[in-house]
Amino acid sequence: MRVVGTIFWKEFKSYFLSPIAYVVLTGFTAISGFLFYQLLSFFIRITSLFRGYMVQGQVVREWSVAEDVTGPLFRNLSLFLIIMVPAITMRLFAEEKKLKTDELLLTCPIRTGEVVLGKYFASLFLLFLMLVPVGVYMLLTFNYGTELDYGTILSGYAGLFLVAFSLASVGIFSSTLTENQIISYFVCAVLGLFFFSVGLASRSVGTVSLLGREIHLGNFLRQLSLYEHYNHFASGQIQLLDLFYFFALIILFLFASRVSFERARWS
Amino acid sequence: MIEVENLTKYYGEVRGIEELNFKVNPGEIVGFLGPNGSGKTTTMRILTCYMPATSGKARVAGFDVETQSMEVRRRIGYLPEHPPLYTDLSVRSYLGFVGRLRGLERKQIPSAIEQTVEICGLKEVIERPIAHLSKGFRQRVGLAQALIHNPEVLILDEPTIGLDPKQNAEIRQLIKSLAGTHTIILSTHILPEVTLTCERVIIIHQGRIVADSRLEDLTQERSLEEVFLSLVGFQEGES
Repeated sequence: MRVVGTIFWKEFKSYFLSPIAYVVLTGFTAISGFLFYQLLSFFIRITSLFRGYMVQGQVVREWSVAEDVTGPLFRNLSLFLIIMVPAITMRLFAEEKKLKTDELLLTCPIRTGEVVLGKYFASLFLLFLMLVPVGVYMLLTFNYGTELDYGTILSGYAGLFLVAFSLASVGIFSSTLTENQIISYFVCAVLGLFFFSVGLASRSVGTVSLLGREIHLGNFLRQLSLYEHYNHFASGQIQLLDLFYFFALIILFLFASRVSFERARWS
Repeated sequence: MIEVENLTKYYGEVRGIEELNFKVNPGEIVGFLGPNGSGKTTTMRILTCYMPATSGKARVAGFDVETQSMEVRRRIGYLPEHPPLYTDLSVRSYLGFVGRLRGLERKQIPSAIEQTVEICGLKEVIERPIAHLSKGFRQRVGLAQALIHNPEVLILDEPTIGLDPKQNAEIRQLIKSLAGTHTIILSTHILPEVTLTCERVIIIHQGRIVADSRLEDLTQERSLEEVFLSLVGFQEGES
Protein backbone atom coordinates (compact mmCIF):
# COMPACT_ATOMS: atom_id res chain seq x y z
CA MET A 1 0.00 0.00 0.00
CA ARG A 2 2.97 2.30 0.70
CA VAL A 3 3.97 2.24 -2.95
CA VAL A 4 0.41 2.80 -4.15
CA GLY A 5 0.26 5.88 -1.91
CA THR A 6 3.62 7.18 -3.12
CA ILE A 7 2.65 6.84 -6.78
CA PHE A 8 -0.76 8.32 -6.07
CA TRP A 9 0.68 11.47 -4.52
CA LYS A 10 3.27 11.93 -7.20
CA GLU A 11 0.65 11.66 -9.96
CA PHE A 12 -1.74 13.88 -8.09
CA LYS A 13 0.95 16.54 -7.76
CA SER A 14 1.82 16.20 -11.45
CA TYR A 15 -1.81 16.79 -12.40
CA PHE A 16 -1.80 20.15 -10.69
CA LEU A 17 1.70 21.10 -11.80
CA SER A 18 0.53 20.94 -15.41
CA PRO A 19 -2.48 22.78 -16.83
CA ILE A 20 -4.37 19.55 -17.47
CA ALA A 21 -6.24 19.34 -14.17
CA TYR A 22 -7.37 22.96 -14.37
CA VAL A 23 -8.46 22.68 -18.00
CA VAL A 24 -10.41 19.48 -17.43
CA LEU A 25 -12.05 20.63 -14.19
CA THR A 26 -13.03 24.02 -15.57
CA GLY A 27 -14.17 22.65 -18.92
CA PHE A 28 -16.32 19.94 -17.46
CA THR A 29 -17.87 22.23 -14.87
CA ALA A 30 -18.66 24.90 -17.45
CA ILE A 31 -20.24 22.54 -19.93
CA SER A 32 -22.14 20.46 -17.40
CA GLY A 33 -23.34 23.68 -15.75
CA PHE A 34 -24.54 25.05 -19.06
CA LEU A 35 -26.33 21.80 -19.85
CA PHE A 36 -27.95 21.73 -16.44
CA TYR A 37 -29.08 25.33 -16.70
CA GLN A 38 -30.68 24.73 -20.10
CA LEU A 39 -32.52 21.64 -18.94
CA LEU A 40 -33.71 23.25 -15.74
CA SER A 41 -34.91 26.50 -17.32
CA PHE A 42 -36.76 24.51 -19.98
CA PHE A 43 -38.27 22.36 -17.25
CA ILE A 44 -39.47 25.44 -15.36
CA ARG A 45 -41.00 26.85 -18.55
CA ILE A 46 -42.90 23.73 -19.55
CA THR A 47 -44.14 22.98 -16.04
CA SER A 48 -45.74 26.43 -15.95
CA LEU A 49 -47.51 25.72 -19.26
CA PHE A 50 -48.61 22.10 -19.08
CA ARG A 51 -49.01 19.54 -16.37
CA GLY A 52 -47.26 16.84 -18.31
CA TYR A 53 -46.50 15.10 -21.55
CA MET A 54 -49.73 15.32 -23.56
CA VAL A 55 -51.21 13.22 -26.32
CA GLN A 56 -54.46 14.55 -27.84
CA GLY A 57 -55.18 16.82 -24.88
CA GLN A 58 -54.61 14.05 -22.34
CA VAL A 59 -51.71 14.10 -19.89
CA VAL A 60 -50.02 10.73 -20.37
CA ARG A 61 -47.06 11.39 -18.08
CA GLU A 62 -46.47 14.15 -15.58
CA TRP A 63 -43.24 16.14 -15.70
CA SER A 64 -40.65 14.96 -13.23
CA VAL A 65 -37.22 16.23 -12.31
CA ALA A 66 -35.76 12.76 -12.50
CA GLU A 67 -36.99 12.10 -16.02
CA ASP A 68 -36.83 15.55 -17.55
CA VAL A 69 -33.85 17.21 -15.88
CA THR A 70 -31.35 14.89 -14.25
CA GLY A 71 -32.01 11.90 -16.54
CA PRO A 72 -31.06 13.71 -19.77
CA LEU A 73 -28.29 15.56 -17.92
CA PHE A 74 -26.64 12.36 -16.72
CA ARG A 75 -27.04 10.60 -20.06
CA ASN A 76 -25.43 13.49 -21.89
CA LEU A 77 -22.64 13.77 -19.35
CA SER A 78 -21.90 10.07 -19.59
CA LEU A 79 -21.15 10.62 -23.28
CA PHE A 80 -19.19 13.73 -22.50
CA LEU A 81 -16.94 11.63 -20.25
CA ILE A 82 -15.56 9.94 -23.38
CA ILE A 83 -13.93 13.26 -24.24
CA MET A 84 -12.78 14.14 -20.72
CA VAL A 85 -11.48 10.88 -19.27
CA PRO A 86 -8.79 10.18 -21.90
CA ALA A 87 -7.43 13.68 -21.32
CA ILE A 88 -6.87 12.72 -17.70
CA THR A 89 -5.37 9.29 -18.29
CA MET A 90 -3.40 9.75 -21.52
CA ARG A 91 -0.25 10.96 -19.78
CA LEU A 92 -0.02 8.39 -17.01
CA PHE A 93 2.10 5.72 -18.69
CA ALA A 94 2.89 7.35 -22.05
CA GLU A 95 4.94 9.97 -20.23
CA GLU A 96 6.92 7.30 -18.36
CA LYS A 97 7.97 5.83 -21.66
CA LYS A 98 8.80 9.17 -23.16
CA LEU A 99 10.93 10.30 -20.20
CA LYS A 100 12.38 6.76 -19.91
CA THR A 101 11.33 6.72 -16.28
CA ASP A 102 9.72 3.32 -16.83
CA GLU A 103 13.23 1.97 -16.46
CA LEU A 104 13.32 3.44 -12.96
CA LEU A 105 9.93 2.00 -11.99
CA LEU A 106 10.79 -1.43 -13.35
CA THR A 107 14.07 -1.61 -11.41
CA CYS A 108 12.70 -0.39 -8.07
CA PRO A 109 11.74 -2.98 -5.46
CA ILE A 110 8.04 -2.52 -6.18
CA ARG A 111 5.35 -4.51 -7.96
CA THR A 112 4.01 -3.31 -11.30
CA GLY A 113 0.48 -3.82 -10.04
CA GLU A 114 1.09 -1.25 -7.33
CA VAL A 115 2.23 1.28 -9.92
CA VAL A 116 -0.90 0.70 -11.99
CA LEU A 117 -3.15 1.03 -8.94
CA GLY A 118 -1.45 4.20 -7.72
CA LYS A 119 -1.90 5.85 -11.07
CA TYR A 120 -5.45 4.59 -11.35
CA PHE A 121 -6.41 6.00 -7.97
CA ALA A 122 -4.86 9.36 -8.86
CA SER A 123 -7.01 9.55 -11.99
CA LEU A 124 -10.07 8.49 -9.96
CA PHE A 125 -9.48 11.27 -7.50
CA LEU A 126 -9.36 13.87 -10.25
CA LEU A 127 -12.53 12.40 -11.79
CA PHE A 128 -14.14 12.56 -8.39
CA LEU A 129 -13.30 16.26 -8.14
CA MET A 130 -14.64 16.73 -11.66
CA LEU A 131 -17.98 15.12 -10.84
CA VAL A 132 -18.55 16.86 -7.49
CA PRO A 133 -20.10 20.00 -9.08
CA VAL A 134 -22.68 17.76 -10.76
CA GLY A 135 -23.73 16.75 -7.26
CA VAL A 136 -24.26 20.41 -6.46
CA TYR A 137 -26.62 20.76 -9.43
CA MET A 138 -28.46 17.74 -8.17
CA LEU A 139 -28.95 19.38 -4.78
CA LEU A 140 -30.35 22.43 -6.56
CA THR A 141 -33.01 20.31 -8.26
CA PHE A 142 -34.29 19.31 -4.83
CA ASN A 143 -35.89 22.78 -4.73
CA TYR A 144 -38.14 21.97 -7.67
CA GLY A 145 -41.13 19.75 -7.26
CA THR A 146 -42.32 18.31 -4.02
CA GLU A 147 -42.27 14.63 -4.73
CA LEU A 148 -38.86 13.94 -6.11
CA ASP A 149 -37.68 10.54 -7.15
CA TYR A 150 -34.51 10.70 -5.06
CA GLY A 151 -33.60 7.09 -5.80
CA THR A 152 -33.48 7.60 -9.55
CA ILE A 153 -31.54 10.83 -9.27
CA LEU A 154 -28.97 9.31 -6.92
CA SER A 155 -28.53 6.14 -8.94
CA GLY A 156 -28.01 8.19 -12.11
CA TYR A 157 -25.34 10.20 -10.33
CA ALA A 158 -23.64 7.11 -8.89
CA GLY A 159 -23.67 5.50 -12.32
CA LEU A 160 -21.85 8.49 -13.72
CA PHE A 161 -18.96 7.71 -11.38
CA LEU A 162 -18.90 4.10 -12.49
CA VAL A 163 -18.79 5.14 -16.15
CA ALA A 164 -15.96 7.56 -15.43
CA PHE A 165 -14.02 4.98 -13.41
CA SER A 166 -14.42 2.31 -16.11
CA LEU A 167 -13.28 4.69 -18.83
CA ALA A 168 -10.29 5.61 -16.65
CA SER A 169 -9.29 1.97 -16.53
CA VAL A 170 -9.57 1.77 -20.33
CA GLY A 171 -7.56 5.02 -20.52
CA ILE A 172 -4.76 3.69 -18.34
CA PHE A 173 -4.50 0.67 -20.58
CA SER A 174 -4.39 2.87 -23.70
CA SER A 175 -1.65 4.87 -22.08
CA THR A 176 0.56 1.81 -21.63
CA LEU A 177 0.46 1.10 -25.36
CA THR A 178 2.42 4.07 -26.61
CA GLU A 179 4.76 6.90 -25.66
CA ASN A 180 2.64 9.34 -27.63
CA GLN A 181 -0.07 10.97 -25.53
CA ILE A 182 -2.20 11.88 -28.55
CA ILE A 183 -2.34 8.28 -29.69
CA SER A 184 -3.10 7.23 -26.13
CA TYR A 185 -5.97 9.76 -26.03
CA PHE A 186 -7.54 8.51 -29.24
CA VAL A 187 -7.19 4.83 -28.44
CA CYS A 188 -9.09 5.45 -25.21
CA ALA A 189 -11.71 7.65 -26.91
CA VAL A 190 -12.29 5.08 -29.65
CA LEU A 191 -12.53 2.20 -27.17
CA GLY A 192 -14.91 4.34 -25.12
CA LEU A 193 -17.08 5.05 -28.15
CA PHE A 194 -17.03 1.37 -29.00
CA PHE A 195 -18.26 0.38 -25.56
CA PHE A 196 -20.93 3.06 -25.71
CA SER A 197 -22.24 2.30 -29.17
CA VAL A 198 -21.84 -1.44 -29.54
CA GLY A 199 -25.34 -1.92 -28.16
CA LEU A 200 -26.82 -0.10 -31.14
CA ALA A 201 -25.94 -3.05 -33.30
CA SER A 202 -28.09 -5.35 -31.21
CA ARG A 203 -31.22 -4.31 -33.08
CA SER A 204 -29.92 -5.38 -36.45
CA VAL A 205 -28.40 -8.71 -35.52
CA GLY A 206 -30.42 -11.64 -34.38
CA THR A 207 -29.31 -15.10 -33.52
CA VAL A 208 -26.36 -16.72 -35.20
CA SER A 209 -25.47 -20.33 -35.14
CA LEU A 210 -21.98 -21.16 -34.06
CA LEU A 211 -20.69 -24.73 -33.83
CA GLY A 212 -24.23 -26.00 -34.02
CA ARG A 213 -25.44 -23.78 -31.21
CA GLU A 214 -27.84 -20.89 -31.44
CA ILE A 215 -26.33 -17.78 -29.94
CA HIS A 216 -28.34 -14.63 -29.46
CA LEU A 217 -25.72 -12.18 -30.71
CA GLY A 218 -27.93 -9.13 -30.33
CA ASN A 219 -28.41 -9.84 -26.67
CA PHE A 220 -24.71 -10.39 -26.22
CA LEU A 221 -23.88 -7.06 -27.86
CA ARG A 222 -26.39 -5.31 -25.67
CA GLN A 223 -24.77 -6.78 -22.56
CA LEU A 224 -21.39 -5.59 -23.82
CA SER A 225 -22.58 -2.03 -24.14
CA LEU A 226 -21.57 0.44 -21.47
CA TYR A 227 -24.42 2.76 -22.31
CA GLU A 228 -26.97 -0.01 -21.95
CA HIS A 229 -25.79 -0.70 -18.42
CA TYR A 230 -25.53 2.96 -17.58
CA ASN A 231 -29.08 3.47 -18.79
CA HIS A 232 -30.27 1.20 -16.02
CA PHE A 233 -28.61 3.48 -13.52
CA ALA A 234 -30.00 6.64 -15.14
CA SER A 235 -33.53 5.26 -15.03
CA GLY A 236 -33.15 3.98 -11.48
CA GLN A 237 -33.27 0.28 -12.27
CA ILE A 238 -29.93 -1.05 -11.15
CA GLN A 239 -29.38 -4.76 -11.43
CA LEU A 240 -26.57 -6.77 -9.96
CA LEU A 241 -25.43 -7.53 -13.50
CA ASP A 242 -24.84 -3.83 -14.16
CA LEU A 243 -22.57 -3.53 -11.15
CA PHE A 244 -20.77 -6.69 -12.15
CA TYR A 245 -20.29 -5.33 -15.67
CA PHE A 246 -18.56 -2.16 -14.48
CA PHE A 247 -16.30 -3.93 -11.99
CA ALA A 248 -15.37 -6.57 -14.54
CA LEU A 249 -14.48 -3.89 -17.08
CA ILE A 250 -12.32 -2.02 -14.55
CA ILE A 251 -10.46 -5.12 -13.38
CA LEU A 252 -9.96 -6.44 -16.91
CA PHE A 253 -8.34 -3.26 -18.19
CA LEU A 254 -6.24 -2.69 -15.06
CA PHE A 255 -4.91 -6.20 -15.37
CA ALA A 256 -4.22 -5.66 -19.08
CA SER A 257 -2.38 -2.44 -18.17
CA ARG A 258 -0.13 -4.31 -15.79
CA VAL A 259 0.74 -6.89 -18.40
CA SER A 260 1.26 -4.24 -21.05
CA PHE A 261 3.53 -2.12 -18.86
CA GLU A 262 5.69 -5.13 -18.06
CA ARG A 263 6.02 -5.86 -21.76
CA ALA A 264 9.27 -3.84 -21.72
CA ARG A 265 10.84 -6.74 -19.85
CA TRP A 266 10.08 -9.19 -22.61
CA SER A 267 11.36 -7.33 -25.64
CA MET B 1 29.48 -8.87 -4.83
CA ILE B 2 28.42 -9.43 -8.42
CA GLU B 3 28.77 -12.84 -10.00
CA VAL B 4 27.80 -13.51 -13.59
CA GLU B 5 27.82 -17.00 -15.06
CA ASN B 6 27.23 -17.84 -18.71
CA LEU B 7 24.86 -14.92 -19.04
CA THR B 8 23.18 -14.87 -22.46
CA LYS B 9 20.50 -12.63 -23.88
CA TYR B 10 18.89 -12.86 -27.29
CA TYR B 11 16.36 -10.34 -28.59
CA GLY B 12 14.43 -12.69 -30.80
CA GLU B 13 17.11 -13.80 -33.24
CA VAL B 14 19.45 -10.94 -32.46
CA ARG B 15 22.27 -11.58 -30.04
CA GLY B 16 22.58 -9.12 -27.18
CA ILE B 17 25.24 -10.85 -25.10
CA GLU B 18 26.58 -14.37 -25.11
CA GLU B 19 28.10 -16.45 -22.33
CA LEU B 20 29.36 -13.62 -20.16
CA ASN B 21 31.35 -14.63 -17.09
CA PHE B 22 32.80 -12.20 -14.60
CA LYS B 23 32.98 -11.30 -10.93
CA VAL B 24 33.17 -8.00 -9.16
CA ASN B 25 34.53 -7.88 -5.61
CA PRO B 26 33.07 -5.66 -2.88
CA GLY B 27 34.30 -2.08 -3.02
CA GLU B 28 35.73 -2.38 -6.51
CA ILE B 29 35.17 0.08 -9.38
CA VAL B 30 34.95 -1.79 -12.64
CA GLY B 31 34.85 -0.10 -16.02
CA PHE B 32 32.64 -1.80 -18.53
CA LEU B 33 34.09 -0.92 -21.88
CA GLY B 34 32.91 -1.52 -25.39
CA PRO B 35 31.82 0.05 -28.63
CA ASN B 36 28.19 1.13 -29.04
CA GLY B 37 25.90 -1.86 -29.37
CA SER B 38 28.34 -4.28 -27.80
CA GLY B 39 25.98 -5.35 -25.04
CA LYS B 40 26.91 -3.08 -22.13
CA THR B 41 23.40 -1.77 -21.55
CA THR B 42 21.93 -5.25 -21.99
CA THR B 43 24.17 -6.62 -19.24
CA MET B 44 23.33 -3.76 -16.92
CA ARG B 45 19.65 -4.16 -17.53
CA ILE B 46 19.83 -7.80 -16.58
CA LEU B 47 21.82 -7.03 -13.43
CA THR B 48 19.28 -4.40 -12.37
CA CYS B 49 16.36 -6.81 -12.95
CA TYR B 50 14.91 -4.66 -15.72
CA MET B 51 14.68 -7.71 -17.94
CA PRO B 52 15.48 -11.38 -17.57
CA ALA B 53 18.35 -13.12 -19.33
CA THR B 54 17.67 -15.79 -21.93
CA SER B 55 19.97 -18.15 -20.03
CA GLY B 56 22.71 -18.10 -17.45
CA LYS B 57 22.87 -16.83 -13.90
CA ALA B 58 23.64 -13.53 -12.26
CA ARG B 59 23.90 -12.84 -8.55
CA VAL B 60 24.09 -9.45 -6.95
CA ALA B 61 24.99 -9.16 -3.25
CA GLY B 62 24.34 -12.87 -2.96
CA PHE B 63 20.85 -12.78 -4.44
CA ASP B 64 19.78 -14.21 -7.77
CA VAL B 65 18.46 -11.53 -10.15
CA GLU B 66 15.70 -13.74 -11.42
CA THR B 67 14.38 -15.57 -8.38
CA GLN B 68 15.19 -12.97 -5.68
CA SER B 69 14.69 -9.91 -7.79
CA MET B 70 13.15 -7.75 -5.03
CA GLU B 71 16.16 -8.31 -2.75
CA VAL B 72 18.52 -7.40 -5.57
CA ARG B 73 16.55 -4.28 -6.47
CA ARG B 74 16.67 -3.10 -2.87
CA ARG B 75 20.47 -3.21 -2.89
CA ILE B 76 21.12 -1.62 -6.24
CA GLY B 77 21.37 1.97 -7.38
CA TYR B 78 20.97 2.34 -11.12
CA LEU B 79 21.64 5.25 -13.42
CA PRO B 80 20.36 4.30 -16.88
CA GLU B 81 21.77 5.80 -20.04
CA HIS B 82 18.97 8.36 -20.08
CA PRO B 83 18.60 9.60 -16.52
CA PRO B 84 15.00 8.76 -15.55
CA LEU B 85 13.86 12.21 -14.44
CA TYR B 86 10.35 13.53 -13.89
CA THR B 87 10.95 16.97 -15.26
CA ASP B 88 7.90 18.57 -13.66
CA LEU B 89 9.03 17.76 -10.11
CA SER B 90 11.55 19.72 -8.09
CA VAL B 91 14.83 18.02 -7.21
CA ARG B 92 13.64 17.59 -3.63
CA SER B 93 10.32 15.97 -4.42
CA TYR B 94 11.88 13.82 -7.11
CA LEU B 95 14.52 12.43 -4.74
CA GLY B 96 11.87 11.94 -2.06
CA PHE B 97 9.72 10.02 -4.53
CA VAL B 98 12.56 7.72 -5.60
CA GLY B 99 13.59 7.24 -1.97
CA ARG B 100 10.11 6.03 -1.09
CA LEU B 101 10.04 3.68 -4.07
CA ARG B 102 13.44 2.31 -3.10
CA GLY B 103 12.00 1.37 0.26
CA LEU B 104 13.07 4.18 2.63
CA GLU B 105 10.76 5.01 5.51
CA ARG B 106 9.02 8.36 5.46
CA LYS B 107 11.07 9.72 8.35
CA GLN B 108 14.35 8.67 6.75
CA ILE B 109 13.63 10.70 3.64
CA PRO B 110 14.69 14.23 4.72
CA SER B 111 18.09 13.11 5.99
CA ALA B 112 18.62 10.87 2.94
CA ILE B 113 17.88 13.81 0.64
CA GLU B 114 20.17 16.06 2.67
CA GLN B 115 23.10 13.65 2.44
CA THR B 116 22.68 12.83 -1.23
CA VAL B 117 22.29 16.46 -2.20
CA GLU B 118 25.46 17.25 -0.27
CA ILE B 119 27.43 14.47 -1.99
CA CYS B 120 26.18 15.34 -5.46
CA GLY B 121 26.51 19.11 -5.10
CA LEU B 122 22.85 19.87 -5.73
CA LYS B 123 22.25 22.20 -2.81
CA GLU B 124 21.75 25.34 -4.87
CA VAL B 125 19.13 23.78 -7.15
CA ILE B 126 17.20 21.63 -4.69
CA GLU B 127 13.92 23.55 -4.98
CA ARG B 128 14.14 24.05 -8.76
CA PRO B 129 12.03 21.99 -11.18
CA ILE B 130 14.23 19.47 -12.99
CA ALA B 131 13.03 20.84 -16.35
CA HIS B 132 14.93 24.07 -15.63
CA LEU B 133 18.26 22.42 -14.87
CA SER B 134 21.30 22.25 -17.13
CA LYS B 135 22.48 18.94 -18.51
CA GLY B 136 25.26 18.71 -15.94
CA PHE B 137 22.85 19.17 -13.05
CA ARG B 138 20.41 16.69 -14.53
CA GLN B 139 23.12 14.08 -14.73
CA ARG B 140 23.91 14.74 -11.09
CA VAL B 141 20.26 14.39 -10.15
CA GLY B 142 20.35 11.07 -12.00
CA LEU B 143 23.30 10.02 -9.90
CA ALA B 144 21.63 11.29 -6.72
CA GLN B 145 18.61 9.19 -7.58
CA ALA B 146 20.84 6.10 -7.72
CA LEU B 147 22.42 6.96 -4.37
CA ILE B 148 19.40 8.01 -2.35
CA HIS B 149 18.95 4.68 -0.56
CA ASN B 150 22.70 4.23 0.00
CA PRO B 151 22.90 1.00 -2.02
CA GLU B 152 25.70 -1.52 -1.77
CA VAL B 153 25.98 -1.77 -5.53
CA LEU B 154 25.96 1.05 -8.08
CA ILE B 155 25.37 0.43 -11.74
CA LEU B 156 26.03 3.47 -13.90
CA ASP B 157 25.40 3.41 -17.63
CA GLU B 158 27.55 6.07 -19.29
CA PRO B 159 27.41 8.47 -16.35
CA THR B 160 29.45 11.21 -18.01
CA ILE B 161 28.03 11.20 -21.52
CA GLY B 162 27.38 14.65 -22.94
CA LEU B 163 29.01 16.60 -20.13
CA ASP B 164 31.60 19.32 -20.51
CA PRO B 165 35.15 18.64 -19.25
CA LYS B 166 34.60 20.38 -15.94
CA GLN B 167 31.35 18.58 -15.17
CA ASN B 168 33.02 15.41 -16.34
CA ALA B 169 35.81 15.81 -13.84
CA GLU B 170 33.34 16.57 -11.07
CA ILE B 171 31.28 13.45 -11.71
CA ARG B 172 34.44 11.38 -11.95
CA GLN B 173 35.63 12.68 -8.62
CA LEU B 174 32.25 11.94 -7.15
CA ILE B 175 32.32 8.35 -8.39
CA LYS B 176 35.85 7.85 -7.10
CA SER B 177 34.84 9.11 -3.68
CA LEU B 178 32.15 6.42 -3.53
CA ALA B 179 34.61 3.58 -4.08
CA GLY B 180 35.39 1.36 -1.13
CA THR B 181 31.98 1.80 0.44
CA HIS B 182 30.14 0.92 -2.77
CA THR B 183 30.72 -1.65 -5.46
CA ILE B 184 30.51 0.13 -8.78
CA ILE B 185 30.15 -0.95 -12.38
CA LEU B 186 30.24 1.88 -14.86
CA SER B 187 30.01 1.61 -18.59
CA THR B 188 31.55 3.99 -21.03
CA HIS B 189 33.21 4.22 -24.37
CA ILE B 190 35.32 7.18 -23.36
CA LEU B 191 38.68 5.60 -22.65
CA PRO B 192 40.48 8.28 -20.64
CA GLU B 193 37.63 8.14 -18.24
CA VAL B 194 38.33 4.53 -17.41
CA THR B 195 42.00 5.21 -16.77
CA LEU B 196 41.05 7.97 -14.39
CA THR B 197 38.36 6.21 -12.37
CA CYS B 198 38.55 2.44 -12.59
CA GLU B 199 40.79 -0.17 -11.08
CA ARG B 200 39.71 -2.90 -13.39
CA VAL B 201 38.27 -3.06 -16.91
CA ILE B 202 36.09 -5.53 -18.67
CA ILE B 203 36.10 -5.04 -22.42
CA ILE B 204 33.12 -6.40 -24.25
CA HIS B 205 32.75 -6.70 -28.00
CA GLN B 206 29.83 -8.08 -30.00
CA GLY B 207 28.28 -9.53 -26.89
CA ARG B 208 31.39 -11.35 -25.64
CA ILE B 209 34.06 -10.48 -23.10
CA VAL B 210 37.37 -9.96 -24.86
CA ALA B 211 39.39 -8.73 -21.89
CA ASP B 212 39.02 -8.72 -18.12
CA SER B 213 41.97 -7.57 -16.08
CA ARG B 214 43.43 -4.92 -13.82
CA LEU B 215 44.07 -1.69 -15.63
CA GLU B 216 47.82 -1.72 -14.85
CA ASP B 217 48.25 -5.19 -16.31
CA LEU B 218 46.38 -4.29 -19.44
CA THR B 219 48.26 -1.08 -20.12
CA GLN B 220 51.80 -2.22 -19.32
CA GLU B 221 53.03 -2.22 -22.88
CA ARG B 222 50.48 -0.25 -24.84
CA SER B 223 48.02 2.52 -24.11
CA LEU B 224 44.47 1.58 -23.26
CA GLU B 225 43.31 2.99 -26.56
CA GLU B 226 45.62 0.71 -28.53
CA VAL B 227 44.59 -2.29 -26.48
CA PHE B 228 40.94 -1.46 -26.92
CA LEU B 229 41.14 -0.90 -30.66
CA SER B 230 43.02 -4.10 -31.28
CA LEU B 231 40.53 -6.07 -29.18
CA VAL B 232 37.52 -4.74 -31.03
CA GLY B 233 39.15 -5.59 -34.35
CA PHE B 234 40.33 -2.24 -35.62
CA GLN B 235 43.67 -2.05 -37.42
CA GLU B 236 45.54 1.20 -37.86
CA GLY B 237 45.43 2.49 -41.42
CA GLU B 238 42.46 0.34 -42.23
CA SER B 239 39.58 2.81 -42.42
